[in-house]
Amino acid sequence: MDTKQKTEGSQSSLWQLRKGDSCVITGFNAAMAPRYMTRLTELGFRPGADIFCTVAPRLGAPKLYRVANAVYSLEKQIAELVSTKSQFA
Amino acid sequence: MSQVLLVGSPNSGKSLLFNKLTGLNQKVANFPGITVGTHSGHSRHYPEIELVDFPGVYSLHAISGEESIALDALSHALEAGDVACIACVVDATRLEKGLVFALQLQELCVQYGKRLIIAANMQDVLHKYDLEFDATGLARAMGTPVIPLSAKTGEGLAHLEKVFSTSGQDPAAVINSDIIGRDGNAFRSQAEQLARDFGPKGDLLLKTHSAADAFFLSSVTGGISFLLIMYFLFQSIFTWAAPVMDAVESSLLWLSSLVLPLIGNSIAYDFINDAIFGGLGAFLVFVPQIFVLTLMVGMLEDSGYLSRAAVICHRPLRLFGLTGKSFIPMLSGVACAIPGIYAARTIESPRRRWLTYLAIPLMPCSARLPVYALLISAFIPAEAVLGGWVGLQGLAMFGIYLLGIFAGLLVTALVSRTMDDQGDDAPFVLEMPPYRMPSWLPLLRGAWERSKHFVTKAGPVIFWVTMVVWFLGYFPNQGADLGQSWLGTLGHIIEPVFAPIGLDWKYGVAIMASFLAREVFVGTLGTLFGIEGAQDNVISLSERVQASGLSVESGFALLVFFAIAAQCVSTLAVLARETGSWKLPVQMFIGYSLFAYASALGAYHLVGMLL
Repeated sequence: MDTKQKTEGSQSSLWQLRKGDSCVITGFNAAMAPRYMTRLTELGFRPGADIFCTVAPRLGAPKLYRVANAVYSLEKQIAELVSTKSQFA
Repeated sequence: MSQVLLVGSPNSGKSLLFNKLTGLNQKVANFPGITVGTHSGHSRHYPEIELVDFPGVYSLHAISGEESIALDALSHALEAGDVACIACVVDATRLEKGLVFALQLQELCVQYGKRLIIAANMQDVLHKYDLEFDATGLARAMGTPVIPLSAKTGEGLAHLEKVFSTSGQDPAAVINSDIIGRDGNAFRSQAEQLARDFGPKGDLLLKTHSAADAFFLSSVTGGISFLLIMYFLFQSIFTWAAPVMDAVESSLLWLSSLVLPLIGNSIAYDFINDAIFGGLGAFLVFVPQIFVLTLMVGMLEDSGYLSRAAVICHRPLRLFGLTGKSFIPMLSGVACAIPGIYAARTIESPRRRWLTYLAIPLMPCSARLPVYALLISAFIPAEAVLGGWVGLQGLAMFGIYLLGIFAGLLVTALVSRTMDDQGDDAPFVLEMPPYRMPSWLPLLRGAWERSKHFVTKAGPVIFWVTMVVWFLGYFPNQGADLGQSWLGTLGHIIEPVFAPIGLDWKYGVAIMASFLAREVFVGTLGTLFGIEGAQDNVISLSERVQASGLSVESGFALLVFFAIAAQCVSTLAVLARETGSWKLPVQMFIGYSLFAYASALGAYHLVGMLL
């Protein structure tokens, strides 16, 4: 039986996720263009989705996020516009 | 005749499947955007079926030029009315990603009264990791045939073709239209549910890839491994190709010793010796290097590493007005600028795509390779340092390649800062494809095809140019004095242009001829030196360059000139087609010619001061 408890954390953006952290997407910032919002949703970055940060290089390089069974790289410019709620194991 | 439209999201293995079904050799690679434009071919086993391969798209809502082109072509094909069915290729190891698009297609199929078939690819990967996928359950839930297959091993292809051959007999109404969603979120929810119910369980594959990503994308090991991989790429061009180049050169010499004594006529003898063996032969010697370069770039494409390289390069490229997605078109440009320009369609931002167009012609393409190889082998000793690990010629090649890349970045940095219109700056979102062991057979075939294409495309141009050069250089005094020939007279007229960088009229003529295509330089020079020293037909072209009195500083100036000048008519024509105007190609040609000349002049004086 899985004994891990998911606890709600503070509101933040996807970009603030560090390597090994996971979060739940809560929505998108209104500044994001609708077509990118649609594309991110289709890729799995949609409200309620669990996201796991697999790689977070230094110096502001794009981070890698795992969503379902795929991994995508997102730069700060767009990851900052994805609102998240952190999860703690 | 009926059509089957082969569509799917990027990295689903669609092009490999197309090649297997048609027996054609469409380029395949493990990164998004390798298929540009549609390609068609007939099924090998059912010739009445025409298969059309579309560029990979994530959804019916296009956000890049490449996706718009694919979706427009899809609409046109559906409206034309000859379509028997749409085959949506999905990666069975990452089912939910492909199913989002498949569900959208299902809606489209209902609208057009067509049948949808799901081709669930990558069964070989599932078998390897002992994972399972319920094709029957998915087919029942979606109300459409789902064919498990492996484009790599050929598993399931016969079944798929059989389904294609009977697809016209089934009405489209079999589709379970209840499953169709209404927006992106509904499609995604449905796809995730289907993947959970019928897709492979577990995340073994992702864990394996994450471990590799942790190494290749780490701040320290990622940068070092990137530089090492790029260095290895350029070093291999010399070290791996050298034995084959020697063999080609020896074969040509052997052939000339066999053929030339049979020719009685002195003019025909001189023509075969100077223009054919001296001109065309000198060009053929460098083809093995093009083979190795294409093989190495193909290996990187196939491995899945290129998307990681795009991530590593994103931040540094931003400083020059580009994006990480510019890296893949730029690296493609290392083999040939034309596929690089097509690959730039994947860049969503028009502004960054335009800047990438500016950089691509400055990438050290394979047509420059014979020129670089000739000059480097003439001036740089074939010695190794650091215990034999670093060859000086390979190092010089790496340096001249870096110069071209640096020139490209300098241009984009300057131009991006002067552009008023910042435009819609599309964000960087890139899928990381799984790492794969490269498939050597298709890679070798691809490198062979590329080399063959290079020879057949450049060969006739070089032949005709060498013919003209030989004719003008041989007459009116039958090769007795090249300087007094018709070509010599023309060459002396343009000599003042190249005199400031220490080049005599023969190099001037070769440069002018190479504005048609860079590789013509080697053939022209081979012909000219052939006429001048016909009795020395056993001497290689690099030795003739050394003996011609070309100074080291002029040699460097020539290298710099060729690194920058936009000497390729085909590239300029493709650029005009992609941008819809000749304005950019003409500006680029004039600008890069002046930039090349000024840089060569600078290099000539700088090297002169250092020596």
